[in-house]
Amino acid sequence: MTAMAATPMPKQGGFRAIRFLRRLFLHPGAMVGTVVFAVLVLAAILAPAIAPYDWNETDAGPRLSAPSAEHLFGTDLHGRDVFSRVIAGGRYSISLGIATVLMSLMLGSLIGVFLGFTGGKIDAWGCRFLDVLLGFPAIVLAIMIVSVMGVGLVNVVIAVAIAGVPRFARVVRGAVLVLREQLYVEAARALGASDARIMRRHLLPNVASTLVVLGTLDLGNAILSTATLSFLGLGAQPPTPEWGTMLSGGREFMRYAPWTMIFPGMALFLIVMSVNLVGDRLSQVLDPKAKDRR
Amino acid sequence: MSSSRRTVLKTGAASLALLAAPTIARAQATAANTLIWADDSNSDVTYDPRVTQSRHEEQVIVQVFDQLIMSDETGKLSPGLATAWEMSPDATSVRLSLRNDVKFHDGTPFNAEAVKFTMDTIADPATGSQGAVDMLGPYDKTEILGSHEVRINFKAPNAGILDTLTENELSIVSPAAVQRLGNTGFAQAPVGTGPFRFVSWERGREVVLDRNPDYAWAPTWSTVQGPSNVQRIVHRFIPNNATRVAALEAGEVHIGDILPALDTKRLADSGKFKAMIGVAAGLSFGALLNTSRGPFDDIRVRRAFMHSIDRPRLAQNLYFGIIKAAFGPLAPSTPGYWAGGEQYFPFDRALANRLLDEAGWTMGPNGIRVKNGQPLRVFFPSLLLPDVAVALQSEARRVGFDIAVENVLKQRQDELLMTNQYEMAVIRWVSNDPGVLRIPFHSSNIPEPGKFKFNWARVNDPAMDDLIAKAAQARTAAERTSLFAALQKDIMDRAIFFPIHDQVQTVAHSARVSGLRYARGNWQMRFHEARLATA
Repeated sequence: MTAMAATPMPKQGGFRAIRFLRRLFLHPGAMVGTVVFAVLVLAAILAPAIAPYDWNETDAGPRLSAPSAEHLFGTDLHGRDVFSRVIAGGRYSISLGIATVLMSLMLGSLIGVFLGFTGGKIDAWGCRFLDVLLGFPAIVLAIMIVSVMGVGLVNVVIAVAIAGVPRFARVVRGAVLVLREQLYVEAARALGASDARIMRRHLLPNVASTLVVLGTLDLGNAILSTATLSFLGLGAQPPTPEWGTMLSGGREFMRYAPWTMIFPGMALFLIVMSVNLVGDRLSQVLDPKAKDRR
Repeated sequence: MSSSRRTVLKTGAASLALLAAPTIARAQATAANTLIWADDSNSDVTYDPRVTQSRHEEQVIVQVFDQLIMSDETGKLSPGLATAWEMSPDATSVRLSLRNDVKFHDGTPFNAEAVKFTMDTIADPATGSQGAVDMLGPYDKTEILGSHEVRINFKAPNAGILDTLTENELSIVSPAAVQRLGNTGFAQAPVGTGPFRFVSWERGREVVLDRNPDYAWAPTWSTVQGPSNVQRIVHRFIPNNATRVAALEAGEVHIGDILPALDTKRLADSGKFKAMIGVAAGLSFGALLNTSRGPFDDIRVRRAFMHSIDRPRLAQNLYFGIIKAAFGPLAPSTPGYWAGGEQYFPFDRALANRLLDEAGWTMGPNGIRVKNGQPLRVFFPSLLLPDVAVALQSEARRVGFDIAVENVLKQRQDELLMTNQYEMAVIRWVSNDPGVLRIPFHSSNIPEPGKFKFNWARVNDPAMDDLIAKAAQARTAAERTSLFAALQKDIMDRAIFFPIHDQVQTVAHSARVSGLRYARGNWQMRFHEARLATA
């Protein structure tokens, strides 16, 4: 009891965080999204412990056998356990998606802040260039980049990330254009702060919430794009159990062993859906114009 | 009949085609006696036999053209446009007597001039021949000895020429049509003497052929001697496997080209369709092991790899009994096939382990062998048949190989092979001539930067070059057979080529269709004898 009394009162910030989290998650969509996302991520992390078979073992069971007690999701052409492969696949698909988004977010916001803050000719030319890149469908751009750099997971991450950069850069630049006219920026400048310092200390933190929303919404896209490239044979290499690769491998046998496609497809669907549900809610909650809305 | 590089390219691009939603060709109102073939390509560019190097294009060419010597699917030679032939004793020339009752589809007569024109234009670099020019070999000239009598001369012995003259690439073309249309025009509207004449070609969609009503010069083995019973052939391009199968089941096409093994089996088992499985002649589908760098520079390691794979089981597992394991560099349907290869490299995991132990590769803690701190890693850029790569990878791992598979596109493969950055690569090559062995095993065909060639084992041994040259220049058939047998044995002894499985043309056709016959080499299908029962 005394210990409790000694505990200092939570500061204003602590209440704000709890309120924020309550607003975020006490919403049916976001709740479902969070639970599904957590389950998939946990399964992926714990895969070595919970997978019933080695996911690359080719004679785990009879070939193309239907789901059963021994093989919950059936087996593929090589006799590999599809359940083990699907949960292990999350290790690749999810982490690749996150890596992709982080990379495009970082590059994009750097470019966006730079252009927005610098303005003038550099900004005009830079924006035209971003517009050109935005004109390409992202997946086509990514395929182009992979075909130049070569196939492989790392290259796919880089390619999808680069393809995502223009979107981030555009949004961040827009936000910076508004911010740089704010009084506190002028004040900082008057105090003799350098451009770099203003960008770092005043501009970037203020576009953070925009970036979080954009990043979350983009995560679903990124996971799908990396899976698409792997489906096309440009990403994960055998025997990696990546979801897109598994879909592509099961294609030929869809009629005879639909489980080889249904389960990895389902996993992709669930992860993208869950991320989008959370992202949607996040954008509502973080929308500055809706600050007072519950 | 040679394997097309375009086919290889297509395999790489096929995955892209998947993005497109499968569109099933609209059922067309077609005449009752129209036979519809679904081809697994849509990238045909020429139907000029002198130019082509694609099995897809040859599927049209084989209907439109005749050859001087014709052969049925067993490889037996029969008179075609030539009624008789005689090789010179030194195998440097062949004299041919020609039929005098044959007309091209454009009405001009077939004669000695046409033969000379065809051979001369094949040898002319301006024609841009991809396949035929190699088949003609050391061609010198064609002499006209009479209106229907020619002698084809070679600069060096060419004992295989009689077999070679049966190839689609050496079909006789109408000189009048080539002169009227030019080479480019002829490629799009070919004129020959065959049982069907070319009507139209809508690129990427279909080719239409009509029967030649004057056809009266069928080879003796043909069960139909006059014009075909089929009035029209529609050659429809459906590159997507699933779409081709669906079109066949919906009755929109009668014959489906190269169907997946499991579909072929299911269709045949249903009783509504019949399957035809043709083992293609030429190089078996197999892996060339790079002898120029480690770890495959050690023959014990190469042998260990080969002994670690159970090929009959692999073929059964991946193809459900439709495709069989291969045991020699040449497919059994190739002339000059040497059966001795069947004794080589039986599955023996204990032996594989022993060989690797002997070679100094000791088992590491993670199941991958190591030597001098280096893992037993084999880089395998894989362009064809990804499931085979997975099976090889997982089986070889059981004896301690770490096979790093990279599914590559054609361009990347070529780059890796030219710059010698690989340990193994897979190859296949359709050909009716054992001389095809020159392509992957002669030292002049070692790839170099800027020069894409096929000696991926990088064997550079004058003894082997010598054997290849001798076999090509043999003067008698018996000498040729024994030299090619020795060459095949040499290849197996060196453990540089690992035969994996046959190349198989799996065709399924409606039970209404009868009288189909594979052309020699078991890739193309002849339609002259086909019949279509009413539904």
